[in-house]
Amino acid sequence: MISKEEVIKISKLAMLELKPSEIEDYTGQLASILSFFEQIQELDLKNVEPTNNALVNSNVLREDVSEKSLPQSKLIFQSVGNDGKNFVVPSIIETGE
Amino acid sequence: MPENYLKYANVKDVPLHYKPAHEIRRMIDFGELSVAELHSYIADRIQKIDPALNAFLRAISPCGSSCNDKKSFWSHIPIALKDNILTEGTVTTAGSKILENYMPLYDATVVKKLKDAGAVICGKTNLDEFAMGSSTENSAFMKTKNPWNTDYVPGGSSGGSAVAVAAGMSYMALGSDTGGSVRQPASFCGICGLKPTYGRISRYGLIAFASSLDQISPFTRDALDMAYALETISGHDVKDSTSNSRLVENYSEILKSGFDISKLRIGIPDEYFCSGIDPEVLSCIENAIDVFKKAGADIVKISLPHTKYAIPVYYLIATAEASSNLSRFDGIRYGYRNPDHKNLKELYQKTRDEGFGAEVKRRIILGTYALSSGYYDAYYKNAQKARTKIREDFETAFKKVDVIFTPTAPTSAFKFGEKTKDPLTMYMSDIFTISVNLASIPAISIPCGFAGAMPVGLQILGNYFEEAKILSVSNEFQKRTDFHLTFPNV
Repeated sequence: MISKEEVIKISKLAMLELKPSEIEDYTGQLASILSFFEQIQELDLKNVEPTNNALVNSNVLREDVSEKSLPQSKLIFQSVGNDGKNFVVPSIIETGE
Repeated sequence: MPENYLKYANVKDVPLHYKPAHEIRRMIDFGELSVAELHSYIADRIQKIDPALNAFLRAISPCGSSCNDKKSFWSHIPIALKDNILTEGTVTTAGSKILENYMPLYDATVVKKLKDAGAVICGKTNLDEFAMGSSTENSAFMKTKNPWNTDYVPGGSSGGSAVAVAAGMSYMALGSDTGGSVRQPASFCGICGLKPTYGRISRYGLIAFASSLDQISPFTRDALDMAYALETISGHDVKDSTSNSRLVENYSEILKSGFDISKLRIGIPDEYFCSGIDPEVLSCIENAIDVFKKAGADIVKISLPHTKYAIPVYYLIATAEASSNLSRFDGIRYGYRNPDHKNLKELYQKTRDEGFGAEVKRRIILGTYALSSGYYDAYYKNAQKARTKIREDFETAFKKVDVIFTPTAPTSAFKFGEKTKDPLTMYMSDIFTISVNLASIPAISIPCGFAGAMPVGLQILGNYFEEAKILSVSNEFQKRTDFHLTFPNV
């Protein structure tokens, strides 16, 4: 059973800042969803291979050669935080005072 | 039957907006209809009726469109695209605030193929945010209405594309089907929706929800149009390593050559004809089975014993994959960015909290939980193992039968707000469609009657890459019935 503390912990892992009302709602909803999902545990799955996908079983490789890609000059403007050349983000290294 | 509907015995009598694409093609080729006339007719129709239906997030007038003039089936024909399929130079939102102003720099492979074939894109359609939902009520922008009765949902998540075809605003539309997101709205709106075998159609340029389940899927009015749609957009693509290199068949020619029903073995799985099905839906499906029985098909009772596990298996795998796929929406390189943050972590968290809607966040949390240390084996890994059991059920069944018939959904369309309070109730409405995605097999929903005044869909499932067979079976049904010639009076 999922607790409120777990929902808070998981939301932090998923980089979501939830409001108190959201935490309340999700805890109840996820608890009932997960308890319904418990029925999988009644299956004997000990010697069963997992299926990632029924039809894709091998890696697809290509030669390591560079190919034409989308232009950086255009891609940069898809970010609201650009200075025309770079993606601008808050600094992640604290400067010593 | 609904009180207010339009029904025709012959395709020639059907009004222009409800004609199948193959009839429009014939009329253009024989000089009975000019391209300019067709385009202004569709532009007027969208302008007139869409304000009450909200199928389109962005309608694009086909008038004066320049397109490849070569003699291909889709040349000049207006089609619509779900707004999670990238279109160069046209905003693509996935129904989410986080991508509200996102302008793609390239076309999805399916869009390129359709443009090369001369199709004209008449709009981007509404959807549940990131294709997560079964009613299109989770769109961040608006609610799409069912053209048979606007108090009812169109189904989802590809509700906008379904309504664009069902209400006669486009002759074909693409959606995406991860757990039934094309077949269920096709059923609710009285049209055809085909989820092909996983890998048949390139996913390059489809905004990813659950990568091992997603498949771009068309809506059409009849089986022949579906054959033309499928052969145009299928095939291997180096840009999608999960796309399949198997040769694409000439589906339209196969349909035209006819199909012998008397040798057909139809599987009827016990587990899909359980309590909980609306009795009127059940009676529509039984009538459809009778059509085939009368034509000499062999009706075989089969069992798919792991069906009851499909909902938990699907929602664990799909949400796990979604939590990973949606981690790319961080506000840095594209999309919405919260303007009011103190540091990078706050930028991520606030951007995602404000950019995503409630259902998307719920699924990200569920998926992150299923993948987290301590729960991975019990949830995610066991779900993948149970997926094997579900796949094996179908592999065993297809040794005995050619196709499997089921209802597409346990009920016809429901009313707005009916299932939004309890997410689990909404998830349960996918019960008959999700196994198909877990097993990677193809399935189509075709109209087969009415429950009260709302349409009902028959789901026809086939073995891997047997799209030609399920399309042929659908086509034979449509030769013997007129549900595909029955339209809402809008």
